[in-house]
Amino acid sequence: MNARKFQFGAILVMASVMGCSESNTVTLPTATSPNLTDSARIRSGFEVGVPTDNASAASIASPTGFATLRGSFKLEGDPPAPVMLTVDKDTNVCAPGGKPVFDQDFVFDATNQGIANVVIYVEKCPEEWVHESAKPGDESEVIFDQKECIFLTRMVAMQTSQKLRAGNSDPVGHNLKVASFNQTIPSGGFAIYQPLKEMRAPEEMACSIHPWMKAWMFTRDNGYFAVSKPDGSFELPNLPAGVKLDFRVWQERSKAVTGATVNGVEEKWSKGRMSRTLEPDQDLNLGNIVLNSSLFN
Amino acid sequence: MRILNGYLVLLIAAPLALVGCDAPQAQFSENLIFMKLQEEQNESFSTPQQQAIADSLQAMFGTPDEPFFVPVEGLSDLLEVRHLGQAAGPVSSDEYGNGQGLFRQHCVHCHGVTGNGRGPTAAFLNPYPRDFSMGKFKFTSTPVGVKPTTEDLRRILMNGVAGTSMPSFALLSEGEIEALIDYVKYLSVRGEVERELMIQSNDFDFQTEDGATDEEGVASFTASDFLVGEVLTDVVDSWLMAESMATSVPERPGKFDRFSESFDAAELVASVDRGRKLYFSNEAQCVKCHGPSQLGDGQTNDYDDWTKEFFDWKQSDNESFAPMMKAYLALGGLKPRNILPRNLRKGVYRGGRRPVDLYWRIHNGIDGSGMPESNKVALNEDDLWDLVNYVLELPYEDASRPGNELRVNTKEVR
Repeated sequence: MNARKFQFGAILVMASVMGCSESNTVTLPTATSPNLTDSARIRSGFEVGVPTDNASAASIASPTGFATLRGSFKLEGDPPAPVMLTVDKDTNVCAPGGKPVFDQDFVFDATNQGIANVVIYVEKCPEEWVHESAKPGDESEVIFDQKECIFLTRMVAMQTSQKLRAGNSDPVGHNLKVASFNQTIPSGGFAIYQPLKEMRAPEEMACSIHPWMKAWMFTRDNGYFAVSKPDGSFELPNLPAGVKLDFRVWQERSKAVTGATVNGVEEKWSKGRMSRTLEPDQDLNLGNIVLNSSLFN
Repeated sequence: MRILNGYLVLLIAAPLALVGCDAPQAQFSENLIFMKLQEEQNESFSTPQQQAIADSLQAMFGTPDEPFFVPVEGLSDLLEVRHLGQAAGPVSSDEYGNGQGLFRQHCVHCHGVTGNGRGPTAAFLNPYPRDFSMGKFKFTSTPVGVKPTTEDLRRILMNGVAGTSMPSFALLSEGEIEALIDYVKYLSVRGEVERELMIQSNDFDFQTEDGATDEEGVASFTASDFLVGEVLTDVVDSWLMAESMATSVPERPGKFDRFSESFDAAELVASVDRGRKLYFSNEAQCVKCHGPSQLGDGQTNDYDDWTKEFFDWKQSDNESFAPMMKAYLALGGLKPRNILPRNLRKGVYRGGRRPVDLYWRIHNGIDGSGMPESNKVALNEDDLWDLVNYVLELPYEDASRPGNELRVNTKEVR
C-alpha cells in the first residue's frame, strides 16, 4: 500500500517538474516599465517646444547634379518551392479544369537567374533635391487588372498623386482591398483607387471574396522607386548626385533584403538599406546584384 | 500533530500577509503582440529600443491614473484634456458628486485598461470588444481608412451595438459621455502612436556594434521633433481630418418613408424588387458573402483585420504556424474567430438600423471587416436606396419568420 502511494507521489512530482510544455522555438518579448526620470525629461522637451538644432540641417551637403543607378537582381542557389493556393470559390473560373494554382510570391526566370518584383527605392529625399522627372505630382493612371482570379500585376509601385484604375476581366465579381480602400469591382467594371499617403513599405492588396488573391501596392511621394523586371533588371534615373543616398530593397518573401553580393563583394544591408553616393552624370551599373536563396526561405 | 497544524496555518497566512490589501497601480500594457510581429519582420527589439519606446509613451500619454496629452496644434478640436482627467483614474467622485474614473467604471472590464480589447471579460464575449489601438472602427459615417467622427463614437455609446455585448450608455449624463468619447480617442491615439513607434524604431540605431547603448540614436528617437512633430501629429491629423469626411447621404426619397406624406407603397414594393435583383447582380455582388438566402453563409472563412494582422491564419499547414499561434496566445491574444457576414434576415444591424446607417454601410463598406464599399462606377444613390429598402424588408419576408408557418398546426395556448 505504502509503496504504491510512494510511486503515485513520485509520478506526481515528476509530472509537475517536467510540465506539459513542448519545446517552444519562438521567443516572446517581455514587458518593460518606463523609466520615470527619462520620461519626465522627454516630456519637458515637448512643453518647452524647443526646436532642435537646425544648424545640423545646414551642414548637410546639397546635390551637385544627377546620375542614374541600374542593376539586375539575380538569385544564387535554388529558388524556394512554389506554394499551392487553396482555391475554394468560383472554381470554374479561378481554377479552370481543376488546375493547381500556385502563389507567385517569388517570380524567377531560370534562364537568366533574374528575380522579378524586387522593389528598390530611395528612402528619404528632401523635395528640393528631386529631379523634375521624379517630382511629386504625376497624375497619370496606372492600369491594373485581374484574370482567372489572379491579380495581373504582382507589385504595383506608383506615386501618391497617381490613380490606380483597377479593372476586372473575369466573369465573376471581385473586390479590391488595399491600405485604406476596399471597393467591389463588378465583372467587366472598374474602380479607381486614390492613395491617401506615402507608404513606408509595400502593403498587401487582397480580394475578400477570393482570399487567396494577393498583390502588393507601394506608393511614394516622389518618383525614386523601381520594380525589377522578369530578368531582374531595374533603372533609377535622375537621382541626386554628390550626396549619400540610402536605398531600400524589398521583396515580398524576404521583406527587407538584408544583404547581397555586388560585383563579387559581399555587402550587408541592415534592414534592407543600401547606401551609395553617385557622381554627377554618372550611369552607375551595379551589374548583377546576387541575392542568396537563404533570404527567401 | 498540533505543531503541524500550526505550521500549516503559517504557510497559508504568511503569503496573504505579505501581499497585503492594496490594489496595484494600473499600468498600460505594452502591445507585445505587435512587437512580436515587428520582430518577425525585422530584427529583435534591443533593450534600449524597447526602453526608449516605453519612455516616450509615458512622456506623451502619462498613465491610466494620470493621463497627459501633448499640446499639439488642433488638440482642442480633437478632445478636451479635462475630460481625460474625469475619465481616467480609479473610480471615485468629487465634492459635487461628479463621477471620476468613468472609463474604469464602465469600460475597462471588456476593453481593458489600455483600450486594446483584452479586458478580463473579453475572452468570453462574441464578438470580442473593440481594440482601439489600431485606430479602426467599424460602424462609422466615414469611408474605410478614415477615422470615425465624434458623432459616430457618440452614436455607439448612446445606442450600444445591437447584437453584441456593447450596451447603450444613454443613462450617463451628457458630460460623462463626452468624457468617455475623448478618453476613447486618447486611448486610440496612444495605441496608434505605440504601433508607429515600434515600426519606425526599426530605422533608428539604439545599439552600437559592441552592444552598448547608442545615446545619439536614443536621443534622436526621443526628440520632440520626431515623437511629436512626426508621429503624434500624423495620428492626430488623421482624427481631425475625419470630421470633414463623413459621407453625406442624399435624403431618402419620401416615397419610401412610411411616415412621410409622399409615401407610395407601390414605389416601395418596386424598389424592394430592384434591390433584390441588385443583391444578386454582378454590380453589387452581395450574394457572394451574404449568401443566396441572405443568411450570411456565402463566405465564412475570412478573419477581421485585427486578427489578420498578426499572420495569415489560413496557412495552418505552414510549419511556422503552430509556434506563432502559441506565441500569439501566450502574449495575450484572443483565440481567433472567423468574421461572418451579417445574417440579413434577423433584422439586427450592429451599426444602427436607420436607413441612413444601412446606406453608410453599403456606400462606405465596414472598416476592419471584409465588407467592401459599393462600386462607385456601377451603382448610384438610387441603387443604394433600393438595396437599403430590400435589406429593411428582408426580416419580414415569410422565409425569415418560420414561426408563422407553424401556427396553423398548433393550438393556441392562452
